[in-house]
Amino acid sequence: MALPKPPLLFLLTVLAILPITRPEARAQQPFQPTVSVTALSNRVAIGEIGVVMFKINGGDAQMPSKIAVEGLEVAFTGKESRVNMSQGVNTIQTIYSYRFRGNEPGTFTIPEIDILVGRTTVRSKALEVIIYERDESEAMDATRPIFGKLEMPKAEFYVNELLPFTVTGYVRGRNSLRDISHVKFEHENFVMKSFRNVRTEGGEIGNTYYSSAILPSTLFALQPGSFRLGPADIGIRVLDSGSGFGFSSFFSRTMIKDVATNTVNVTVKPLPNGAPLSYTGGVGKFKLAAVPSITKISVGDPISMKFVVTGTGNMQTMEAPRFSVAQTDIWKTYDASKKLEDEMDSDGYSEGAVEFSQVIIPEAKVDTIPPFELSYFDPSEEKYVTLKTDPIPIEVSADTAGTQSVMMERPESGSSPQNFPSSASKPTASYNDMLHIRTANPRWIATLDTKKKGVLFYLVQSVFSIAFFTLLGFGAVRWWKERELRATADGPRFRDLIKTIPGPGTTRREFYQSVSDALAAWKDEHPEAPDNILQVIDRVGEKCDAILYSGAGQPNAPLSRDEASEFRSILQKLPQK
Amino acid sequence: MIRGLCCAMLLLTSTSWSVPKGNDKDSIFQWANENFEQGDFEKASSSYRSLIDSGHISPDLFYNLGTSLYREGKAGEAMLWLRRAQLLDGNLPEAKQNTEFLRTRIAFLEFADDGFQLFLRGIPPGVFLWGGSLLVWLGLVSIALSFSLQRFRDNQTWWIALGIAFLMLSFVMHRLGQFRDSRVAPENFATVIVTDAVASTAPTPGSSTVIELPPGSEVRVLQVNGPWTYVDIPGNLRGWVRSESVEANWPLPEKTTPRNLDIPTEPVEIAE
Repeated sequence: MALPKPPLLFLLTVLAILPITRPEARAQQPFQPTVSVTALSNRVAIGEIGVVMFKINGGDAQMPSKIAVEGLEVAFTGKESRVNMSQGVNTIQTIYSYRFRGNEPGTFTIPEIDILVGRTTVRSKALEVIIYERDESEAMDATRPIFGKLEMPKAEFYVNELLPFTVTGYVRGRNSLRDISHVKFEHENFVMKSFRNVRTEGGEIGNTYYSSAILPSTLFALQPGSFRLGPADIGIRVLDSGSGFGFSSFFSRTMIKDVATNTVNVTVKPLPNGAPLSYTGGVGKFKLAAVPSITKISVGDPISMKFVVTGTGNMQTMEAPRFSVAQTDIWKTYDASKKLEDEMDSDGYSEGAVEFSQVIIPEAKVDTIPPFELSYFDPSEEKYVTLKTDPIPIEVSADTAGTQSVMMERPESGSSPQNFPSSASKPTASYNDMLHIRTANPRWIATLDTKKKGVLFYLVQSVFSIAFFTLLGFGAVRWWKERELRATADGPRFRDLIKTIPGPGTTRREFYQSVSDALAAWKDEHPEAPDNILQVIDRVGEKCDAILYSGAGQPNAPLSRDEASEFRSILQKLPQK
Repeated sequence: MIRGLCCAMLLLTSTSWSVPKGNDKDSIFQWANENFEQGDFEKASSSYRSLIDSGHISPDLFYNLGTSLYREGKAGEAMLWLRRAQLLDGNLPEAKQNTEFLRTRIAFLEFADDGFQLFLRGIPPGVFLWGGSLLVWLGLVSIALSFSLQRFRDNQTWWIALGIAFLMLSFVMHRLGQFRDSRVAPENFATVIVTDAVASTAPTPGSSTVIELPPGSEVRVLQVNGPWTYVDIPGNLRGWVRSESVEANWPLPEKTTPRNLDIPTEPVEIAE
């Protein structure tokens, strides 16, 4: 009798468990959205773009357009949704993509953010990303299809020293690099020349062929210190591998890819103390030449001094030479003007030239233009060098006479004898003073009012207008007469005759006579009418003649309405001129 | 004529030690030359100006006035009158040479005219007006002839084509005339006559400077707005300058004699 107990217990247990394990009961529970955060790569070089993705299951979310992270730019770029089916349940997964970029090395944390999914708020996890410096040795990375490289010839240089450098874009494959659309390379402490020339090359990097575009330029530093240069952003136009329909060279399409170069750490050294008074900012290696505009003048007359500085180095910061010794109350000087054309500027390798013009005026009688000095800093020797012109002999007097300008160039060290031209050169005019007045009786001019039209102008216009309107009138009269003559000679026209054809009620004679006349006029007006129309005309004409002249056609009988309309319809179908 | 005589009388009365031998324009001119030779440039300049105020026009007179003004230290005005002398006689070698001299001394700004503009400037303005109107009439008459007279109707197409060609040429002449009048004609240009002229960014006293204008610089007048003039400056620049610092190259102003001239206003009897 104890047997029924276990089944009862079992049933009670099953009944107790059922409400928990029933699928219906599980489905009634609310769906909880989830969020996960991942980065394509947690380690990204300075200036390069990294991608972080927020994967959200459970529907659309409200995501911020930017995520604030100190030292990191994180901005929303787009989203992508897909539907997943799992155990018979559909779930929507949406991926929100953000791009991030760092300009300083370090470890940065993208913080937890609260995301509203439907009516539920979920919190994402924090994500750490590392921004690192990609140095010059790491720049040439054959694992990447496109990359850029910033190259400096040296990492230590002086303030104002002109430093040539290159920015190079590399693209994997032959002829895969079309051109460079833009380069952005800036630093507040450096003055950089714009990139004007592009040189394309190609070569193997780690057994892989790369096409490259090299952009040379120069820079110089404004302040001493340690600085990180770069990355430079390069826009490279590359061949779109997905286009071309298999005909790569003819139907190919290009697209611009932005890449960031490596960075370069440089140290800018200050210029040493003890610069000469004539140091005006030049750094490099230079020569100086001086040319006076005239050498025979009066006291108080200006001389325009032209200084030409040639050499390799920074000419942008250089100012004009100065007198070796102050010339107070002897020479009056004005501010010099500088002429440095881009094409003539030094690129750090080849020589350039800069011109200075300065007006100087002798305030006393002197024999020479005193020497001018120009000092510059030579970074290779690490010392200041002073260039000095020779004194230029001049004649200062009350009387002036034309002379030739003298060109003198002084080498950096030592003096060399002056070289005179071996053959005579053609003399050139000098404008040392104004010409005297004209003393002969002047040529008087009556009037200069050449714009005034005058009577003759209106007279000529009148003559031409009379001639023109006379011709017009003559032509109009002639045309009218010709028109009338033509109308008379041609006789009555078909167009006019069909208007005079009488209607029903008149005699048949009168009607058919008019029709016959109209047909005759039509035939005259259309001598080259088609045969089938002429046949119709002839048949109608014969019918008219039969009624008019056969005697059997009752010509005096009244015309019926049907008869009149039949002939009229035939006549109206004929083309009219 | 009466004005000329009055001016001559004024000049005669302005000095007791040097007077013109007669009161005709040639005598006054020679008298002004004598003043120049004696180093009295101010008197020479005022005498030249008095002739100009009397309506006398001569390239030699303008040239002499320019030279005299330079000796007075008025380089800007000197350049203005040398330009005017060259407007009357473009081949006056003395004026060209003195212009070149001033160019080397004051480094004034000038427009770099191309060959086409120089060519247009050399053509008298009436040529475009006469040429344009004559070509219009020739075109219209050619077309009218082709319709009116039997002799011309035989070659009607050619006459119509000729007429259209004339009309097109007339249009070209008209446009060239317009371009000359608005851009190339001397009436558009002015010369800086003061030493401290600057072009400013706005017609207000405290506005920023665009460029300093050395005396003798050439500008193209775009708009005169009371005390300020808006000008086109060589080097593709524009700016506002004080109206009194520039003077139009052409036409001549009503009076060229400065007001502070020391010329007696009462007629004085002159002893020969």
